[in-house]
Amino acid sequence: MIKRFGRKTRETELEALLRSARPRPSRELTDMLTTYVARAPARSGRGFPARLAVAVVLSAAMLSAVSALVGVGYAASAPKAAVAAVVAAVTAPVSSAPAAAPAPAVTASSQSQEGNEEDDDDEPAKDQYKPGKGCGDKNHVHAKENECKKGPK
Amino acid sequence: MPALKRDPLADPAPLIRRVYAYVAYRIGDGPDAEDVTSEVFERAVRYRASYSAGKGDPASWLIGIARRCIADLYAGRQPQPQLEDVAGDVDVEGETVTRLTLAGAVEGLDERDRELIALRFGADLTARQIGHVVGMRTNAVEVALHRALARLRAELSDSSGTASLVLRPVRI
Repeated sequence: MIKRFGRKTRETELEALLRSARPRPSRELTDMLTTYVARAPARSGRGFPARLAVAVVLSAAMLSAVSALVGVGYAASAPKAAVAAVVAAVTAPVSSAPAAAPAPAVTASSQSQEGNEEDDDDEPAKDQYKPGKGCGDKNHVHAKENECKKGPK
Repeated sequence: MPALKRDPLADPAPLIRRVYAYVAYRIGDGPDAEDVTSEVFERAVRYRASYSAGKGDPASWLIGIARRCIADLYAGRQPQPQLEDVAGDVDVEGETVTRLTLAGAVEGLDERDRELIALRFGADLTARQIGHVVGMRTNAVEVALHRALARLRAELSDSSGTASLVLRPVRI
């Protein structure tokens, strides 16, 4: 323990010696370099603001591009669509008669194809499915007496 | 953000002392050490804007520059060890003898030990800072420093026990 303490003390002395006896610059060198550093232009600090400016400009450009494509374009087209809707609503009664005419015509033509048994209900399936069409259907209505050779099962 | 704008050379005097001590421990006290120190601060002023506080303190940054300057110096000149007798300086006072003996013992170390001694006791860097500069772990730096000090102690006991012969690099 004493030996180790003594060794530690020697190390500390050596370290202290290395620090205290370390080479020192001459006063002339220190003064010359201090003056040189003081007279040299100080750091302008230009790097970071320049980078910041580039980042801000790029962000603004991207933001304006995105808003022009999505937000502002949609907002600009909204009043135009609203005006068109209002105009259509105001002018609708004047031009409704020719526009509404084809609808009853379609209904009448479908009724004439299906026959007079069908009612005038407006179910969507009615236009798509027409029972009794063809001899294989049990609901087929014979227009002539011997239209089908075999009767429905 | 103010750390990024910090001027590494705002207070140059203590940095000059630390850099000079490091350089002198590496290549020997004298005109060469003064030249290298001047070169270090000239480069530091030139590249002042590239300093980043996040990568280390100003002393570590300057020591990094100093290491490159010394490498450039050694690339131009190859030092050759030659025996030189310090006994001729017996007439000088005790402090000078101690300095010369210590300088001789440090020069007797190998390059890696001398580098570590110079960084620790010349530049006054911590083990962590030394690790950052030389690319070693802090624990490895502490162990290497401990061994370098042991070898230096052996050098000192040899030189005091024998004829005070020291190895000094001589320029070609």
